[in-house]
Amino acid sequence: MKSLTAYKWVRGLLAASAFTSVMFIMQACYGTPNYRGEESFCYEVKMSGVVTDGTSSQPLSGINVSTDISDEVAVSDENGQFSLSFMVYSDDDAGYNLNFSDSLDRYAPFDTLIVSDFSDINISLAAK
Amino acid sequence: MLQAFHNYFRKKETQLHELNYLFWECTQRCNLNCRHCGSDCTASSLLPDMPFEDFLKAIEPLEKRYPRNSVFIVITGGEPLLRSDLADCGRELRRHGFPWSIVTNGYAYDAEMHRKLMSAGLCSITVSLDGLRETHDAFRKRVGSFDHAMNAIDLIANEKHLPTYDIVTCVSPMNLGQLDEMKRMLIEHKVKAWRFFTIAPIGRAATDNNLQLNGEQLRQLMDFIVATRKEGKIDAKFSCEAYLGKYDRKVRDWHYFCRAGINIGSVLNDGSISACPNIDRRFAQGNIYSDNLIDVWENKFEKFRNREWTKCGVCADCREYKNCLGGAMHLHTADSGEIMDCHWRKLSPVIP
Repeated sequence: MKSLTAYKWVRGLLAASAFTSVMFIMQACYGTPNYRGEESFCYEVKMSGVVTDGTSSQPLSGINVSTDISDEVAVSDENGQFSLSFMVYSDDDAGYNLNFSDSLDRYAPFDTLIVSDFSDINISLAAK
Repeated sequence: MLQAFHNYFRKKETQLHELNYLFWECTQRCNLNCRHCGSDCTASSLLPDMPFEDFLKAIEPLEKRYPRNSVFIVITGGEPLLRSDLADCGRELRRHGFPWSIVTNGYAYDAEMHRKLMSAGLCSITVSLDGLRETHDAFRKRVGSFDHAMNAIDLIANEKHLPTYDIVTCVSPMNLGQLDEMKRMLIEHKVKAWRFFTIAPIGRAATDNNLQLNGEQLRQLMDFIVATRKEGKIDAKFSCEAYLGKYDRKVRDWHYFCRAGINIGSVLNDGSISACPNIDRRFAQGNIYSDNLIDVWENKFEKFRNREWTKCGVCADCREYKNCLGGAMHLHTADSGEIMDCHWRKLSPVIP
């Protein structure tokens, strides 16, 4: 057991060295190239906020919220609140385009680019 | 010297046996009926696809046992693209901290599928290409298979957010003479990585003797890979399927090491827990519907981790046994320890 613990330390060094790291690149003959995922490669973006009527400021339910880069769709609840999560795969995005559309066609669709304050998005829609 | 160091490393890795690479055979259905299929899949398998919830429940304990992102899930089949929930499965795996990939024939991989899988966190993909158009279609027994596969390859090779991928070619006497032309074509299509198999006498290929390379043909393949690696235009390598003696490090980045059951496990479509899906299914060590995956991984797999039982037949007094330990697991059956096909022996008379 002791020797395995010592080996684990040694293998950590071997895996980090440019010369010997190749020993640890494994791939089943039947499988795909291995990817030891980095958190930074793929992460979840969470966006939330409230949708209201542009004139009365009343919360709007049933508004679909989506992005251009994912199939995920959120629907605002009776308080106008929505919460949308989606995965992103690069850190070079300057922001995320959010699309708001009313399934009952009472309000005009609205698109906006969100670059910060992802958890405090307040959107007012104009009635048609 | 380096081989001795590798053998020591292999022994220690076997003692540690960390699970780093887990296959999920998500379906046995396939949209093709390939002549050389190792798993003998059919268009409509009698076995229904495993519900994703069952697989997720089985692997959830791995989240506690291993660091996040350290167990790589390889989704295979059958043809995984036939599952309509594939992207949802992938997205969920990613959320649980499992990077994932697929092995595909590429037939159903179009631009929409590519976008869906990328947005679900696809980390790696392998697409099969078994020759130029006519040969590939003949292997796959479906006209248009080549064009579909090439379309998939174009999408993948041009995708800047996909961390890794490769194209695999099962080399047989039918496509051996096309490798130069294939290489030119793949480089033209910006492919970066190309891996080669030979066809093992298992699955549907067990009864088709025309698919295996003889010694001279195998040497031709090795020489082709060596030359391609020297050119450096595409990362060509031979798969980990066999020990190759002096060719070993010339056609791969490191020495041969069959990690089945040592670092590689699988959950098969019926819930069986095993190693690579092309291994004789009678080697299964448990079942997720009755056993805990971690218990099975840590306390069973004896035949995978101690391969003394393979030291019989041609391996019994082979001088290379210490280096190959009886060859790859998929070349053995549960009936006998004897290896079905020894690449080193095939190459021996002509090894430079």
